[in-house]
Amino acid sequence: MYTLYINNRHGSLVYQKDFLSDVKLTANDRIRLASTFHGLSAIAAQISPVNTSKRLPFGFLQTTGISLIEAEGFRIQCFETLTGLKFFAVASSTFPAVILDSFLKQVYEVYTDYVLKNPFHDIDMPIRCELFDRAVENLFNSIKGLG
Amino acid sequence: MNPEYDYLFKLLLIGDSGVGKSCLLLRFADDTYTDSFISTIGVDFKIRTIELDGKTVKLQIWDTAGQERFRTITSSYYRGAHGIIIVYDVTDKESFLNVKNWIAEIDKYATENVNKLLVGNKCDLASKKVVSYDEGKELADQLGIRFLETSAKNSHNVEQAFHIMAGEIKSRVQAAGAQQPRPAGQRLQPAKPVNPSGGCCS
Repeated sequence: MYTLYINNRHGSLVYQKDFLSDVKLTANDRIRLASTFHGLSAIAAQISPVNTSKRLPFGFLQTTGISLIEAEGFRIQCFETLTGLKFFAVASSTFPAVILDSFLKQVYEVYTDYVLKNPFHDIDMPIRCELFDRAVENLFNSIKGLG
Repeated sequence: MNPEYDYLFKLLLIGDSGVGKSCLLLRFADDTYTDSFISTIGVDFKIRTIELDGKTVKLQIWDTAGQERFRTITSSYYRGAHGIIIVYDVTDKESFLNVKNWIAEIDKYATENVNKLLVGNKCDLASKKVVSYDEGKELADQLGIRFLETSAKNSHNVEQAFHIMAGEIKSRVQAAGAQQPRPAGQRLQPAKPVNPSGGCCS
């Protein structure tokens, strides 16, 4: 896995972490990339000819954006929460999708534990929280051997 | 610690096609100017970092396409914007008259207490000017928002426009964080002995 992004529900980047040391992106590049993904996801939801969310009971709770982009050599996988947060990761295409998916969900879990419960955190603003940082690192270390 | 800035604000530039939204942004973010007209496709981002009261603030400016055919996409970007700058062209009456439509668009899609700013661009073209400063000011007063005339070409008032916006947003965001309404709650009292009389077993 290469890198992790978290977008708030309005499409602004709130957290980003690289798991490779040789990534050469500036902070601004990352913000731009993350928001572009948000835009793509919003457009993708409009393109779909069938609207599954309307047919299902509680369908309005269904998220509709992009959950996976498969490319030659890498993959972008996204977990969108019901509140509109997007946790997405870029990984090599050999990395097992199931593990990546559970990783993203676990990040959401530690997000609720360490970010939401942090009284100094402004909601929808960049996350600056050491405990969260460490928790994400631990999660990554527990799966990095797998891909 | 990740990241090296304190705030990330989402600003939105809207207005008719060709009024100079992208040029304003180019001037503010990169301090350059181009005379050629390139229509924005969908949305474009520019980011500039500024210092405000000792805090590092990144302004991420979402430059939307003015053209009608991109409208369905751009409307989805309004949500969660901290500030919206409505731009018109002082040499183009039509773009000024359309400001009302843009405001309606904001009311429809954007967050309720979003900061707004009206900007009349291209004020360097004095000879071709058809919308006077007073007209612009009057409209802004009617709408209860700030107003500036700018020129992306000679960078008149461009810095000010964005700084005014950033300052207003920051004070709003901080105020919202500080005075979140506390639920009234119930005050706990010392325990009181339950009246022992009247029980069926006594």
